[in-house]
Amino acid sequence: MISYLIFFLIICGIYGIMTLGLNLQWGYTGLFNIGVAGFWAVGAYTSAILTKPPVPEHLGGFNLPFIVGILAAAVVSGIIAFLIGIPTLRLREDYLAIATIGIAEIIRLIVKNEEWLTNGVRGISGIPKPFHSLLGNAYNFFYLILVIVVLAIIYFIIQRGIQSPWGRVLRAIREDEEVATTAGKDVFRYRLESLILGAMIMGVGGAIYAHFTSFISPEAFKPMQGTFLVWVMLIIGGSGNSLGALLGALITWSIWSGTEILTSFLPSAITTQAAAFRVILIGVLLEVVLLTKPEGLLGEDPHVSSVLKE
Amino acid sequence: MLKVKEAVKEFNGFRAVNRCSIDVPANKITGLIGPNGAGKTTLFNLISGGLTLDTGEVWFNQERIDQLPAHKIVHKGLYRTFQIPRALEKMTTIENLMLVPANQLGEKIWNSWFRNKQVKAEEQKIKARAEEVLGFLELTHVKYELAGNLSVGQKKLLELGRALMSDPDMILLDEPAAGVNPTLMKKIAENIRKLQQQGKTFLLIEHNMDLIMDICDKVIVMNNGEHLIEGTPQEVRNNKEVLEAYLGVEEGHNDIAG
Repeated sequence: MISYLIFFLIICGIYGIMTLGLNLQWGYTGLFNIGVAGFWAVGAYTSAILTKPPVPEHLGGFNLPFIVGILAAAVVSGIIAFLIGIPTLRLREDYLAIATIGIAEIIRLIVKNEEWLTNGVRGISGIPKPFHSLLGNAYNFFYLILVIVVLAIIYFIIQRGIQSPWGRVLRAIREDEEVATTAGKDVFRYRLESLILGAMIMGVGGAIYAHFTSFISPEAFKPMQGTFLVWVMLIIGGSGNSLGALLGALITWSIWSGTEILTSFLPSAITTQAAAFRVILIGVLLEVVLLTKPEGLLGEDPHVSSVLKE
Repeated sequence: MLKVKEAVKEFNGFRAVNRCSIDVPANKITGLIGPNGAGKTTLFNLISGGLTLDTGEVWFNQERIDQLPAHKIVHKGLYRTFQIPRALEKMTTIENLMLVPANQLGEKIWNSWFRNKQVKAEEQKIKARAEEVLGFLELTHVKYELAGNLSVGQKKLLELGRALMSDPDMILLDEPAAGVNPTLMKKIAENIRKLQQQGKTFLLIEHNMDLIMDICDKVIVMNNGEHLIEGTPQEVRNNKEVLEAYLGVEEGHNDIAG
């Protein structure tokens, strides 16, 4: 039971990293990124390829330390965000949505088909778990601590930024970009920074995921679990509130995985239908929250600037 | 101080601004009037960089600004407000003001991580300045209110307040008195005059002739995208062409606002 709880919290934490990144982009800046799964995959594959021992089937086997893998995941995700942002962020916001969803799918197809790079549909296995040999049975507990530390660092990075004038400009852009321009702010620069930082955070989340499961394949990065669920978490928890984003990840994942346990008791003939039913259930939950608390469980704090708190 | 030379702007073949030249003197309040569709707001957008000129030039303080992006024009000391006040609704009144000052240390995210003390010290200064402006506009009581909850009149004042926060040399005001009650209008007029006495230059679009007569040193009249005439408020009021422009329906009259 305890071991399941630890496992559960690790997954929640990984989703929490994703929702924090998305909250920076959407909740604070109004950037409509519906390609979360793409950055997730990029982070996971980057770190996996760099840290694995050599194998003949695919690129990789650089045997680099875990921390290098995590940082590289952030950098590569950031570069991809930069390349998406340059042409789209000067345009209306719907273009970013189209570009991100398209690129997430392209990334998934590349991962699926470029076997020399990613081993295709067979996926990458044997991704090293840091300090695994030292810790043995207590490993998941250690990993949970690691996830919490990473979450805390990311939370600090975001909150410091959001509570400073940088975050104020982001929120102003979200409210009315023309006013932000009129106030002398270079809207494009701020949008690009927010998109890149958010994507880097998602990349880190992807790497943390890969080292935990030790196996990744294109199946893991479908839009349903990789993007849609992250959005639901953010909207339920409270867009524009980092704690809300984390709460949303916890609640939504509880329901998602809780119903999975319930459906596993059903006769095998109807488990596939039950899986679809869970998606509907999440959809209903989303509707209920939107109707009763449109700002999410924890709404935005109007006094987010640090000097206004004192 | 501000010179527009032969500005032209077309929208799908319709000439909103047609070879329009204006000259706005420093430390004065200049009014820009004309019937609806005369091209006043379009001219504002061309000056502030919201739109780009087809041909023509804009000069501000002996410097050509028409090729600069809009946010850089603000840094030259030229600030514009909007006809319909545009508050940042989910931000507090004071934050609407604190947004504005240029080159804030904390606008670079790494400074918020590594130089947090300096960022906070600067924030205190900006906050004090915002409180000063709120006091000047008599908005102190709504300091921590979300700007979306303010009345239209208060949003108008907030719009003016944002302009003050950037401490510009010149402010373009787009209908500062539209949709506000006579008391508030008087207050806005008083504030504009006080600021002019402190050395600021104004160019304002306004349909309220009482306000124009009351505060303007010079009035420029536009019609059909062109500079019609200019002069003192008295001269303009008694000009026959101006009356015709306002009353007569001429060819090429169009519904494009402002």
